[in-house]
Amino acid sequence: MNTLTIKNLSKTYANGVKALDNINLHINNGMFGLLGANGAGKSSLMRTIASLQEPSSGSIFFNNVDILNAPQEIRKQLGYLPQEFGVYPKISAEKLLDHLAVLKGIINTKKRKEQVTSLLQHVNLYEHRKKEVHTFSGGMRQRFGIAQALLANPQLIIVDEPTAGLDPEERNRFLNLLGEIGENVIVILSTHIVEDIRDLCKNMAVLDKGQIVLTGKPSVLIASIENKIWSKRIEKSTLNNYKEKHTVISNKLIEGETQIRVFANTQPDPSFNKAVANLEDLYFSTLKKVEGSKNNSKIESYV
Amino acid sequence: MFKELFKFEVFYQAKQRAFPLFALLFLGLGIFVGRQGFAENLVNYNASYQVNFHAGLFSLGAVFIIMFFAISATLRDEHHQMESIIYSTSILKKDYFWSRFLGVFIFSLLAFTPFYIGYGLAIHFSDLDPERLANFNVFIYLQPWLYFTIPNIFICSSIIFAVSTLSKSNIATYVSAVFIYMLYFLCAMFLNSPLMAQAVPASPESMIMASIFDPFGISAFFEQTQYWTAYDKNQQLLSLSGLFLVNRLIWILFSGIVLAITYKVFSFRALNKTKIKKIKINKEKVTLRAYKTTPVVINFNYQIKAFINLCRLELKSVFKSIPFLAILIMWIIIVFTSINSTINGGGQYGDSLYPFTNLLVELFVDPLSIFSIILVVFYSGELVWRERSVKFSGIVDCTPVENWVFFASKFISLILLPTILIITAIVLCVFFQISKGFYQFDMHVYLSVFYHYGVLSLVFAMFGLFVQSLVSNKFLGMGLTGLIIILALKAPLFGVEHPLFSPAFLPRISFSNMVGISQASKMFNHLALYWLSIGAILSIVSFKLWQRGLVKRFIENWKRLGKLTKRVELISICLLFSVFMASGASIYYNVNVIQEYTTVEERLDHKENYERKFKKWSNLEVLSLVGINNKLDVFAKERRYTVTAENTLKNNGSNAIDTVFISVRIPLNGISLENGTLLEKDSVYGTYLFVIKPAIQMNQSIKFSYSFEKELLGFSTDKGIVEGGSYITQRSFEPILSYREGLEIQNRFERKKRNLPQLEERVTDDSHLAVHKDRLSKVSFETVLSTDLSATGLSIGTLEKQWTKENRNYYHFKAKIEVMPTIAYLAGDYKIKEIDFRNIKVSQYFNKEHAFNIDTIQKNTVQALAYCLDNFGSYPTESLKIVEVPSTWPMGGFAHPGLITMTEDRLYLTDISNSNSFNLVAKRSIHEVAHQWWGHVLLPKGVEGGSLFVEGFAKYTEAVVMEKHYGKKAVYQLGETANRSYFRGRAYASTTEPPLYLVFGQSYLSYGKSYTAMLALRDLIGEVKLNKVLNNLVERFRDDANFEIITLYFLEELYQVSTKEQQVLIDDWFKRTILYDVAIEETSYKKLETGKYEVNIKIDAKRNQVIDHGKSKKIDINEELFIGLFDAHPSEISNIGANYYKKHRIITGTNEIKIIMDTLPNYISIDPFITRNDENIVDNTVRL
Repeated sequence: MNTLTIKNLSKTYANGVKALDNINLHINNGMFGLLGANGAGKSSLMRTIASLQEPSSGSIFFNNVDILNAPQEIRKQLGYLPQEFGVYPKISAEKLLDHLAVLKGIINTKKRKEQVTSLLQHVNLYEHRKKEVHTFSGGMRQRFGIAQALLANPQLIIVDEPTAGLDPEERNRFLNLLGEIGENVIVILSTHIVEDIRDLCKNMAVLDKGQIVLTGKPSVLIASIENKIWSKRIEKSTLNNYKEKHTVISNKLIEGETQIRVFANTQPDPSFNKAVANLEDLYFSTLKKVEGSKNNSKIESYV
Repeated sequence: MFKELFKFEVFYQAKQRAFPLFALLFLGLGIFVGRQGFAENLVNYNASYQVNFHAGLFSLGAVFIIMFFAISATLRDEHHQMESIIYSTSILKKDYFWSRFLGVFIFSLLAFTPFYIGYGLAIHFSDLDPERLANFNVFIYLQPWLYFTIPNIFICSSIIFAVSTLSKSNIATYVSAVFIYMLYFLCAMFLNSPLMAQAVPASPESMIMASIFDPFGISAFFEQTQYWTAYDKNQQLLSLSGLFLVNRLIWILFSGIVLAITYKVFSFRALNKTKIKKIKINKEKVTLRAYKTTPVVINFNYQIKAFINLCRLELKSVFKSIPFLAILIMWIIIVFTSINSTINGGGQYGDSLYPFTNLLVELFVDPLSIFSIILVVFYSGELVWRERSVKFSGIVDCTPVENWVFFASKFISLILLPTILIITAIVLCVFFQISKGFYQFDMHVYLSVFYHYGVLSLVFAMFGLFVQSLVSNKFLGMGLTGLIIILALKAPLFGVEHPLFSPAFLPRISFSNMVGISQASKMFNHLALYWLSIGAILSIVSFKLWQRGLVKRFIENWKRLGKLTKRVELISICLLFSVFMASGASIYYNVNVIQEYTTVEERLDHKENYERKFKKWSNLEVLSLVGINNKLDVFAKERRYTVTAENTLKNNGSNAIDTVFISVRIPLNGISLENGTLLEKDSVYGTYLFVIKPAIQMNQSIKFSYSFEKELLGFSTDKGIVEGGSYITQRSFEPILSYREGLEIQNRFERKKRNLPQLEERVTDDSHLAVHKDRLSKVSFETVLSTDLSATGLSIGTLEKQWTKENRNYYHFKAKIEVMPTIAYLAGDYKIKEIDFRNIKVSQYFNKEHAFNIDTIQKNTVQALAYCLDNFGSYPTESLKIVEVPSTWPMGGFAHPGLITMTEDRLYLTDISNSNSFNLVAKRSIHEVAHQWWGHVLLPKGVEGGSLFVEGFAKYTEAVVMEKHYGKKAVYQLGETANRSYFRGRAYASTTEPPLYLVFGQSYLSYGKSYTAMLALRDLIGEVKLNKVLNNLVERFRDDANFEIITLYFLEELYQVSTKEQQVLIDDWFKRTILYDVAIEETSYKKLETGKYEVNIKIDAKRNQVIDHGKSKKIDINEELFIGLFDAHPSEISNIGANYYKKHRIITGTNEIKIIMDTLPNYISIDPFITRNDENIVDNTVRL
């Protein structure tokens, strides 16, 4: 069983932006979802774990090794897919993957070839293996990124927004692969797409403005807001009225009408229908709560 | 729309921090250049020529600005991923394109223009010699701005903008900039621009090529002004005509076309233009393998494997990059052309050299440094930032590859780039050697290139990586690295003189068969160790600063340096630091302690103080040296020699002498003067003052003895003391028996600054020539020379006795007659070839590997002796020795009495196997033999005109003997070279040109004009009469020990054998400065009924006389010139044979001449063999 323990991790950038604010997490084997809006600090956290960035304070232990002081230890066991990456021009997928395999430590040529081939097949790039990676489309490149993250023998896999740019089929394929691998290793999946986490993750955390505002098992968390989500179709022009009166956690257009979802312990009024709570509601209501608590300077305990 | 876009462009470019930075930089550059006060002697600092020169040259620097603005104009959308946004707006292609181009052009122009402001201000307001400043005239600055700056910036902007627009690649943009430079560089090489300081002048054809193809117009500028004298440079304005105009038009037109094509081709809005290579998609069914993890082994082996893989990938990417290929191709072209042009007839006389490894290597080491530096500057940035710039760093940086592996792979890849250049060059050299059937590959010389010319690149690469590890932006890093390198290389310009302060002081190391490796190699090794240890320390630091993942701010990163240092790194830093200190200390010891280290300023102080202290002795009557009896022991292996001299001095004057002031060149161990008392000794300035009692009366002699030991200490070098062939001249060590005027500061302005009185100008009138008393005298000579056992000793005179004692060879030489005191002592391991000719023993002493030309030298020596004996009187002694000396001696040859020294490369390694080309070996041999008469039998007084007897007569002898044995074409070649060196020389002369009979140190007169004048004289009065005159002079003055002959006597003799009309011409050539301009205007012919041909020739003739200070006026011409109707060009004619070659009277203006010929000639030529000084000799000959 692998363990990743993050203690009091903070990062303040030179320009004063507090990217990470006293993060504490304990993660075991399995998929772990990290949910957060753009700019919430997900990538900073991931990069810090991946030894690509140093925190201002705090510590990270992987299998009880302090990896901030021994970054080599984590690098030996890491698979990392950055949120955004490019590649060298004029080098084919197969060659580049082979090169990375060497850098990851597979120095046996035969074993390397085997794994490279297998990964190319898994990400459905095998027939494109002779093509130069920099000519790949966004989705293909993303798949290449996934393949390289799985090279060698990673015990900790960090994937930052992996499904962006993938079509639904590819996305499923990838998530299944991750799920399969995730049984024996830690996979940290950072995303702002709620479904990814709902479908796959045993555990999750919500990151907002550098702070962990919520952790737990998705199912348990969702259960906690069961019966507290109400929906209603309204006129668009009245949205602001509702926002003033109720805790509107989301609104979206459905068949040209605006549907709002409201968080409330009891039915606000009969025109609201009880809705089945989902992860998205949890996410939005959490963010709302945090915002509200900050605005009113009072902290409500949650869940 | 265009207006708004352009406004935005102006706003955007002006906001770039670089704009004010560049403007400031060029302002500073202008001030720096202006303050230096660089101009040839006699040329004003603000002469139009000088301002054009600087403006043209520094417009090269504008390329950097242009590159920057072009990148920011064309690539910013892509860099900031704005492309799709910009392209989806309604902007029109034409507005977009032209607004951006104009932005680049105008801002580059604006950023460069402050150069003029700084330059002008510095010239007019810093403390330059005010006498060399003409009045301020704004047009002087405006003209180069219009002729050079605007066109050059337009041309470069167009090309660079086109490349960056079409390629959308940074590096392709740099390459286009480098390419423009290279083109200039090649042109400068072809033109042999004065900036390249090559000895060999360019042929007219290559000059035309260079003038046209140089994108900056600098070559065309040099072409137009090549023969401008100082007067012209001060007075004339550059004219927008001729090749210069052609150049400007061609390039502006070309740039316009480039822009237009770019505009056409540039497909606005087309994203992702990259062609996707069609690779057949393999639809083969493969069994899906299950994903399984693969265990990893992270050990040292793995790191090595990763290192190799990384290097391979880096190099592959470099090799596949067009920039590198472009640089490599350029490199190959440059190496190929420079070798090809040198070993295949590229010498001054169209001569070739044998492709000895050391000679070939010399040809590419200079451009090698430039190319290596370009590679190092660009690729240190490209390599270090490669992962980051393609955003791949997130992936590779979290692999378990250790920092040192990443660092080392970048480092090795970087230093492999210059290495590849060296390897390519060596392959080319070997190719040339094989193609010439020359199989003597000196591997150690080839290998040494990696060390002697690689160290500098290695050190700069270390600097480059260090800089890149500090900065947070690749371009900033490249700029800084470039700046550091330029500052380092140009350190002497900033007053940095000590070798410890800049790698620019790594001495140039060369090989020669006789010397082996340069003596400076000791200094090189020390300095190399010193700089490499600094470099290595910087490398460790940069390695520690190696950043993975996100780039940290400088301070954050720097802090980390302290905490994470491992023990092994600390130990290596300590070790390196001690190497650095030790080598530094050793260099300091060698430079400052063992030797005396002086700065330029201190040397000037020394000169000033010498003058102040001792000038009072300059009016003393001086004793003449009349007898030399030296004991000289050469210990070449130990790099030293000792001299014990017993000389005789004589009072040749009419007054008694009781005070003798002596200045020494080398500190003496002992000195004594018969009857003399040492009154004053100054060991700082090396002077002695003796009082002699009783005073030495007229014609009385005294003994003078001294002794010293010279040892090469520290890093000092002396080309005279070399195991393979020591060559010590009397002149190099002998104390001077008077105040040394040569030590006085010559620069007028420097004298003024130091409050020294102005130097008196030499009075040169005819009476002065006769009155001047020369203290130089012939001497009796005797020496006992000892050498190491392996060496043979040689000196002037006859070998009286030879013996071996205590493992040393001893030789006793004695001159049978009194000789010119140009004494030489030689010791080396020679092969010998001897022959007797009319009772003269001609012996050659040469390096055993240099036997190629020995027979030719012998044959021509004998032919020259025969001619001289037949025409100029007897040879004074019974032997003539010809000795080879190392190529480090910067001369063609030197004639000592009865002994000629010749340098290895300029005589022995000249390839004359092609019998059609000019026989340089013959020329040099004849020339030096002729000096046995001209300079030894006939000794001119050391006054104005003297060198006409020495060089002028030797050039004449050379021509007549060459003509006899090698035909007219040899004379053509000699004439062409002499004529050109005359015009070139007077253009760069530092004093006003005197008439030939008053020549005083102007080599363009003694080697150039004296040749044409003597040949014209021969054609005028005939070879027999002329030789008779020369013979008369020889017989009249040969037994004169006191050097009495002056040019007036020569002219008198000439007048006696010539008519009145001829005398006028003789005066024109010898006593005036007259330039001819004759040309064939038109030719036509018709066939006559008799079957013969009537050839009609229209000739245009003009003459100009140069009067005071270079001003010239038109004068009439009315004299007979040869007209030739040849079947080949005069440069190809061996014998006149059936060709027409007769004198015709030519007058001012158009001359029409009719000649009836049996057969139709191919070429018509006036003055075909160049006996008149004519700037343009190309138009003297035309094809019919």
